[in-house]
Amino acid sequence: MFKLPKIILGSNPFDGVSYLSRSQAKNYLEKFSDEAEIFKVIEAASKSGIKAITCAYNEKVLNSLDKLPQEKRMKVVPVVPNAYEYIRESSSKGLLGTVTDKLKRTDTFQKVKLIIKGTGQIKGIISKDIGTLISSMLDIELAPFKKHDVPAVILHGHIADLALVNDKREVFDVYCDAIRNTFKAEPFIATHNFGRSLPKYKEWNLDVTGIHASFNKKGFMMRPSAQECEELLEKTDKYILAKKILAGGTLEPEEAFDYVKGKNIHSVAIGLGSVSEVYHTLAIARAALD
Amino acid sequence: MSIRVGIIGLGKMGILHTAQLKTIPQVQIAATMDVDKRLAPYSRKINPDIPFYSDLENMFHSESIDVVYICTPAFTHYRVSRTCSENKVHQFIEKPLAHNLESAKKIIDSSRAEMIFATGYSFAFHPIFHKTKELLEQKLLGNIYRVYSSTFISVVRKKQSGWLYKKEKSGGGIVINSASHLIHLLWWYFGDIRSIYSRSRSVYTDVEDCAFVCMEFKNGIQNMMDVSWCTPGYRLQEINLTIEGTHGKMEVSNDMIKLYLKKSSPSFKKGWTTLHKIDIRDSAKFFLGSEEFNIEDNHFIDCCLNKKTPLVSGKDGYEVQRIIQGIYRSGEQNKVVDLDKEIPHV
Repeated sequence: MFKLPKIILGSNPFDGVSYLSRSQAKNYLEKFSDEAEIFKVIEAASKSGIKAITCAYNEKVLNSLDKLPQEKRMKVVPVVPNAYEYIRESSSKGLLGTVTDKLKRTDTFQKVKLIIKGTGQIKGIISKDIGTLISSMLDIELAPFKKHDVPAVILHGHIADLALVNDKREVFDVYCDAIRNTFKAEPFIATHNFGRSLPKYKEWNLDVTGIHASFNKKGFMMRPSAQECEELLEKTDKYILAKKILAGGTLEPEEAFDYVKGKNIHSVAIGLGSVSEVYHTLAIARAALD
Repeated sequence: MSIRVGIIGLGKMGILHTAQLKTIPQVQIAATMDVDKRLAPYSRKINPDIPFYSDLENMFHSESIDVVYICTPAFTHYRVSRTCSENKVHQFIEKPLAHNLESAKKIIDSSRAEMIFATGYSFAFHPIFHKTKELLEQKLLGNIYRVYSSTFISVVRKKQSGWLYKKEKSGGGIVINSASHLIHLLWWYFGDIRSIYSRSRSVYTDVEDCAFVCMEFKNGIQNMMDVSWCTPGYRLQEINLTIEGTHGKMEVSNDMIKLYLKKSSPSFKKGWTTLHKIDIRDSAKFFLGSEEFNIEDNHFIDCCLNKKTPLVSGKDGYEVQRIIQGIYRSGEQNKVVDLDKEIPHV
C-alpha cells in the first residue's frame, strides 16, 4: 500500500499563513521573506527526522530544500494550483486575464507545450475541454517541482471544493489520471468540506489515493460538522493526510496528537514557524504517534 | 419551497456566489449572465444544465427568475438593477451598492417595496465581526467615546490597470472598494455619522491608494480610520478596531476579539478575555473562500423565502454610500463635511 511518512512538514508559515491571527501571519511573512530563516526551520525538521514536506510553489522553500545534504533530501508533495494567486489577481484582471498573465510567465518550453495543446492563448483556454485545461494547468504548476522526488500531488482545496459543488467529476478524473500517468505520482485531493466531499467521491467511485482534510479536537474547519467528519473518517479506505491538527495553533501539541492517535489517519502535515517549535512539537508528535 | 436564482456577472464574486448557492437545497440556479460572450463556453462547461445569457433582457424574457445576484462591476449596478426591478425580482447587489451616490440613489428609487433587497457587505456575517456586534449590544464597555479603526491589504505595489483603478468605473480606490466593508461595520456598530474629515493619497494608481478619515458619530463617538491597499505585509484584507468605553475596551481583528473590562460582567471576568475566531461557532455548512459567504447567502435566501428584511439591506448599502461620498467630498474640498446637511438620506 502507498505510504507517506507519518509526519510531514507543512509550509503555511513559509507562505505567511496563520489561522491563529493576522499578526502572526504578518510575522511569518516578514520572517520568512528571508530564505535563510526558511532553511533553518527545514534543516531543523530534517534533523528531527522529517522526510517530506507539502507546499505550494514557493521558490525560497524549493531553494532551501535543495540545500539539504543529498542523503537528507525531503520528498515534496506539491499543492496545486496556487489558488490564492488566481483569486487575488482575478479581482482586477478577471479570471481570463489572470490565466493569460500566468501563461506569459512560463518558460519557452512550457509555452511550446501549451501551444501544441492549444491552450497558449486566451481563445484556446476558453474553447478547450476541461481535460486539456487541467493538464495544461498541471504542466504550468508542476514544472518547478521537476527535479524533486514527488510521491504525491495535492489538488488545492479551493479548486477541489469548487469542482465538488459544481458536480464536476470530470475535473477529479482528469486530475487523478494526469497525476498518475503523466507525473507518475499519487493523486491526493484537499478539501475544507470532508463531510460533503467523501460521500460524493464514494458515489462517483473516484480513484483517488488520498484525502487531505482538517481533523482536530476543536472541530475547526471540519464541515459540515466534526461528528459527521469523524464518522466518515473511521469508515474510509482512502489514505488520510490530516491538516490543521493544532486547530490553527489554539491546541497544545499534546492534546492535538492525542486526538490523532488511534484514528484512521495515516499521516499529518504540520506547519512549524521556528526552530524551537520544530524540536518541541516533533518530539511530542513522535512520542504520541511512533 | 424552491427559489429560482439568476447570477449576473461571472467574475470572482459571481463564481463564488454561484458555488455557495448550489449548496443551499432550496435554490435552483435558473440562469447565468455576463456581457462577455467569450464566457459562454466556460459557463456551459461548468454549468451544462444552466442557460447562459449575454443579454439581461433576454434572460428575463426566457427564464422565470425570483432572485438575482448582481456581481458585475459597480459602475453597471444601476443599469442592471433597474432592469431587475422592472422584472420584479429580489436583488442581492455585491458591494459597493454603486460607484457613486447618484447611481446608488437611483437604485434605491427604482427598487420596489415588496422586493427583498440586500447589499453584499459580507463582514456583517463574519463570525468575529458578528460577535462584536453582539458584545456591543450588551453594552459591556459602558459609554463608548473613541474608536481607532483600520483596514489594510497589499494589492497595489506598482502602477495598475483594470476597471478597479479607473474612478469613472470603480468610483474610487481603497475607500469605496475595500474600506467600504469597514465603513459598513462602523455604521452598523455606532449609528449615523455627524461629520467627516479626510485626506487621501494616490501613490501608484489614479484613484486613492491610502487615506486617513476622522469621523464623529451623532452619539459623540469619535473614530479615526486608517486605510491602505499599498502597504506591504497584508496578504489578505485585515480589519482592526480598538473600541474604548468608560467600562473597558475591545480590540477586534479578523481572527480574535480581546476584551478588557474594568469590572466583571455576568458573562465576562474582570480584566482581559480573548475570543478566537476558531472558538466561535458559526452556521456555515460549506466552506469556500470564507465562512461569511455561506452564511450571507443562506441568510438572503431565507429572507427571500420568508419575506424578511436582510441584515444588510439596500438602504443600508445606500447609507454606506453616503459616508463614502462624504469622505471623498471632504478630501476633494479639504473641509469638514456635515453629512446630514450636505448628503441627504433617501
